[in-house]
Amino acid sequence: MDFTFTEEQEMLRKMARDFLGAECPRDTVRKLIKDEKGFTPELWAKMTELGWPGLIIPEQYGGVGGSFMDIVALVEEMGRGALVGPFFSSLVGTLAVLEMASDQQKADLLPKIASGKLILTTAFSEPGVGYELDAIQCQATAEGDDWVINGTKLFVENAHLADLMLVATKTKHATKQEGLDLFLVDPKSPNVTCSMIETISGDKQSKVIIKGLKLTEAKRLGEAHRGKDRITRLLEMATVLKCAEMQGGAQQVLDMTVTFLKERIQFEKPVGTLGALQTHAANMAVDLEGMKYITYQVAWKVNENLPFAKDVAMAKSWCSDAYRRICDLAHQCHGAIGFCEDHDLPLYSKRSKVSEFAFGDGLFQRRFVAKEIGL
Amino acid sequence: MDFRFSPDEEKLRQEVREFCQKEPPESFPHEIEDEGYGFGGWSRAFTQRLGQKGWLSISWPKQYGGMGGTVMQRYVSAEELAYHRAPQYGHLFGDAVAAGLLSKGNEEQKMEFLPSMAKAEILFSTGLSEPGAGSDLLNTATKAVKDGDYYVINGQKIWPTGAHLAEWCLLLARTDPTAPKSKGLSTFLVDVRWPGVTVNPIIDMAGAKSFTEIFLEDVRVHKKYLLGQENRGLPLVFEALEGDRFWGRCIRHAGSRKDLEELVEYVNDAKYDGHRLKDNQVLRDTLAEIAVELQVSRMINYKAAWLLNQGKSISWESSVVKVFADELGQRLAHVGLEILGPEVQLGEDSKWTKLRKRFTFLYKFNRGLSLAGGTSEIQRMTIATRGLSLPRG
Repeated sequence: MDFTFTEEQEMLRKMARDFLGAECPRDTVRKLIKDEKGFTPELWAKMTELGWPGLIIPEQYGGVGGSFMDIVALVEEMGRGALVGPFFSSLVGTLAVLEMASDQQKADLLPKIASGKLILTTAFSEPGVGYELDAIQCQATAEGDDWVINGTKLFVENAHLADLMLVATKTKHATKQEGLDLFLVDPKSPNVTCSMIETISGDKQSKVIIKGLKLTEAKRLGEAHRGKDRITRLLEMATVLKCAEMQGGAQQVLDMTVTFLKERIQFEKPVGTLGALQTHAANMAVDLEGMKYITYQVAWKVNENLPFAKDVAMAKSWCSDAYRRICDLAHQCHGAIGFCEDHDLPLYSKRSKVSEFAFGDGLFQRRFVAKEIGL
Repeated sequence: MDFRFSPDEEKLRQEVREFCQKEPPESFPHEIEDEGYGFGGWSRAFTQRLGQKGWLSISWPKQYGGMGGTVMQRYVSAEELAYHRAPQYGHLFGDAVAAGLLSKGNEEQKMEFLPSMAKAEILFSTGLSEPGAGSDLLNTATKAVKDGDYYVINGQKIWPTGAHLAEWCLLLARTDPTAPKSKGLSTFLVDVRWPGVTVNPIIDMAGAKSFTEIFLEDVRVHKKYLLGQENRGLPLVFEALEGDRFWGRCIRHAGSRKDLEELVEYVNDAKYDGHRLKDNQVLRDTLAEIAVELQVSRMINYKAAWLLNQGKSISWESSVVKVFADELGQRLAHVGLEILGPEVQLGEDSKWTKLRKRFTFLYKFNRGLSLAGGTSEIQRMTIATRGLSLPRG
């Protein structure tokens, strides 16, 4: 048993923390949230220089050839830094390509992703549909050798920035178990309309309406109509990464709270001496300890290619609820100052709510866990 | 990162599992029934059987009757025993004493106690709390006054587990009443059968008789039974408490997993008000939540075990282990009773009677777990001050 990152992973973490602290401090994050694009090409170029978009991409495709655990270490730091922008959403798309694409598609796409020239995003949810793949309504209909796509997707992250969107569809004559596919869609196509949604934390999500979009077979990933298991696995991997991001954020929230409790003087002593606030801080620490190890454990399973479906559902269930609780208590500890827009804390507490829903909230995850424990 | 157990650890786990199947723990006579901590009840017969297998002293050095193994091996065996609800109570406190003996004891003491503890020929309890010294151990009033080669001990201890079933007790007493409170305490190894010692069981609100009170009246203890240096007893006690917080709770997830499995079995089988319980979405969510929390508890426990295995301090990590396990246990007991419903009060002879009895008992007894070994509030204070370095109030 070993609960530590490797030396290289520790270096990556430190580099990421230093870089984000210098290049994208929280003031910049706040500006980006108000910015229409929520992103600067300069920051993206610097992240590309560090090799981040290609970290998980094998060297043969121009990537760094890092492991899943490497990506976990990086994403955790991004959560800690409250980084905004398309890195995470593009990473999920990258994983889809790595997991499902043909050799030809990989050769076409991966080098461009690694060099930062191609930004991806993924589209799963729909109005009234969360992450229950069987409920997907967006339709791909065969027309000769081509496909015609119709449907509406919701909560598509950074669709306004993406060069390519991976859209989950069901196929016309499919049974419930089969007939799910991922298509590579150009968000700028005239048959695709993206409109930004107002979100809790100011992150950029869109509603995407696809009408009569014609695509060749070359735009479909994986074996025809057999995508469900692969897409399920992809979503589970993305969920692990989301847990890592949340965990990094939760760590930052605890750290800033502890600092505040030590420095803020009331009644002529630091408020951190008060039992009620010590209890809050301890509860935050317990929740965070749980987030860490339940996340690392499942991340390790992904890394080792072990089955992890149940583990990730448990991890996301815990992280969704624990991160929210941690933020709630952090606000109580900070008092009124943490209620200000310019304070760092709301960056995290608003994000915690968005993350809670991403890839399914606790209720969603526990529906699966209930089956897994034999109910 | 690596969350695999080593081949040695897995081998031992397999041996323990096979042993529990071949010699079911419940077939041994019990002095105290399983209390749902995760470490079963108290059974000297079973504990002695574990001693024969060498499993009471897995991580002790060989020259003292140990197996020369690792803390992680000991942990794995305890975890497996917990899942089988095997009685581990009888040696649990002894193991904390053994840790103290190994770190602070002299050669003579180690040779006198450890080999016979490894075989469960003698069992230990620990006597720390007093009526006036619960969470505040510095308030210890039991006095040990030097008289030649002896100390004469007078005072009262409360809450030692199993002092009525064990022969020996690790006792905290004040040897220097003039020194600052933290500087005048010493630890002694006391045979509770000696003249002047009276042990009475305390019946708790669950009807169990696991806690005791000890009265000491002019008890003469030879100086060779002073453990560690005189007036330096406190670090040893803190270390023992750290171990107690950890070992007393670190396998809760394994024992509770069995409770959850039995609840799931019941839910899949039972109907109430004409509805199948397993179709109740709230109930499914609640049980899934317990499963999630058991996984969290398990990982928190593994982390502390991993630290301990490297000889590192778990001064606040053990508090995380304890607070989480205790409160999870209470939630599980509450959920169990909710699911079993008002029928839980019926005593009729159905196939679920055993389950009802267990959860009724757990519900009552778990109340005490967030108090024993330091209340959850004290644990949270420890987490805040030692784990997060918040200033003391």
